[in-house]
Amino acid sequence: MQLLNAKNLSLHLGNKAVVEQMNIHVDAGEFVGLIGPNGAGKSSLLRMLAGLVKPRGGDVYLTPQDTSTPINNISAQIRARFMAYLAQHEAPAWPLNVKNLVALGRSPWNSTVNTSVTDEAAINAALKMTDVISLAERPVTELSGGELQRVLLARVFAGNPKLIIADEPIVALDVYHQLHIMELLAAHAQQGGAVVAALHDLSLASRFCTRLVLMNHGKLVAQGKPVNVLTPENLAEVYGIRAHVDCRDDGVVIIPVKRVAHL
Amino acid sequence: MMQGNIVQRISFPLLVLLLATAVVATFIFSLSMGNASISVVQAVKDLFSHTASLHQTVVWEIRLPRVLLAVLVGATLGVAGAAMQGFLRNPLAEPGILGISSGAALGAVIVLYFGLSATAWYWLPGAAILGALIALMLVYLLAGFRSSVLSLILAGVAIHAIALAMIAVALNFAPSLFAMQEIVFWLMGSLANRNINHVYVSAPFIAVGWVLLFSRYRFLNALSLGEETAASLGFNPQRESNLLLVGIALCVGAAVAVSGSIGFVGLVIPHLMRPLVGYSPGRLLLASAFGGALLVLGADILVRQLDVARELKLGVVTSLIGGPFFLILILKTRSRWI
Repeated sequence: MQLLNAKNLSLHLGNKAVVEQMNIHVDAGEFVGLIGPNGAGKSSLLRMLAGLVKPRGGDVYLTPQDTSTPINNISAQIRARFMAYLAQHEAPAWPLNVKNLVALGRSPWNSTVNTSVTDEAAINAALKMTDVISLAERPVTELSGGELQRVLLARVFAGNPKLIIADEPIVALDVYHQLHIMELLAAHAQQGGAVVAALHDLSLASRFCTRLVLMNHGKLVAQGKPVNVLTPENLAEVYGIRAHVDCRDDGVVIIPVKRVAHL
Repeated sequence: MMQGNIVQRISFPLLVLLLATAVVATFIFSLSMGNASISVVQAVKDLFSHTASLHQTVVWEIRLPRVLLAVLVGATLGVAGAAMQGFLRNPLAEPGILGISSGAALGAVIVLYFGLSATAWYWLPGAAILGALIALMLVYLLAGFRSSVLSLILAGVAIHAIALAMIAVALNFAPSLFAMQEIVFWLMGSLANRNINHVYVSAPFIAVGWVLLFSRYRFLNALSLGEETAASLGFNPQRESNLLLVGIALCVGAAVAVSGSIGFVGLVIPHLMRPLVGYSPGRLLLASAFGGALLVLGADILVRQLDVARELKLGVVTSLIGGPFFLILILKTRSRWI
């Protein structure tokens, strides 16, 4: 089932077009990796998909209930229940404890001051799933980068969203924590949800994502199975690098070799 | 750290209960305290038996308005400070940052300058509330109605500076030394010589402001993670922010209108209460309301205790207590913030 479908999305910042005529769709069960060099328009696209920025042109359709509906016709609360957004540098302003931070993920479901039994269950499940239950009473300001990112992901899971939109969720994490976050996102997709994540680590992207969408200069360059997208030609054209691309049974290995001149 | 653990063990309902009890106790103590030896119990009895007595007059007509205003003003400054700090995600913000208090002060100063305050009591609070609302409108006009937090703050700082400059002009060209003294003393903040009409004129604005602020409870919590995340959680940041700022303008404007400028309450009280509520910006609202009421009640008791020829101004006391206290607090928590 198609959860998200965006057509002809465009966005300008000042006079500069950051996203142009971009199409993207996401089905249930998919983990879509959005890749492309810095400034390709990945973050802008994700923010339009999440309904945080109004596109200059084009439409975003979501399927929170059975029918595909334009995002503007969906109430903010229904949208928030259906879709969660994990920002790139989500830094808590206060030293809240982990459990209270994760509880914020229940906001779309809860209009009262107190948490209900359902809320408690969802919060505890999210803490368990992301393996942060032992940190529940710790202030978030005392966590390591990897722990904090797991807590922020627990906040996302606590809201039971169908669709997760994550902007560079594994940036600045060590390899162990990168794998951990990617596994959690992939598991969410396998259980019938869907994930769209902007990623810079091409090897991890190809290892976990069911589909890659390659962007450059705000436009779609290629999309499909990781092996078909991460070709040496595409890497040279988009990233301006020469790379060894090694397709193995357990994934694609990409070793950047050197920069090449590109437009 | 030991202390931190004990502090965190107090549950929120217990904290609210303790603070509420403390406010009620201080309220009653403040009512019964004064130069004239007056019994509050006797005053309550006389009120219900409709007996006109000295007890009744002193307690209900002289002390009650003052004590009620201390609670209203203190709670307003506390809750508005908590709301502003939560809104700007900055522990150094205070309710005056958007030029609202200085707008109110300018309104009052204009009335004092022209000597209108002597003609009728309502000129001063009325002009101050008007000044606060005009200041907020100017901030919005400058920043634009669909504005970012940053442009609001910049516009607010500009309005604040202009209002302070106009107050300085009024002082500079004060028609008489007496008018100048009146303006300076009013700016220092006081609750002396207020009557029940001051309560009536400020309470409606304060009540509406409180409702607007307390109903932003969940938005302020969500805002802990930033404006975008709050939006993704189903809040409309533009609408919520507007309601929050109008709420602050209404209640702070009304508080300044009846008390003058009482410094440091809005800054120091949310700071003090924050660890007690587990740093939750939503819970901080209620705790800061009680804390602010407690501080202003206490400071006012202190002011009344000091039997000196010239009244020590309430705003001076809160700043005298608040300043060093704030410094100690910063030194104690420095490791966490820096």
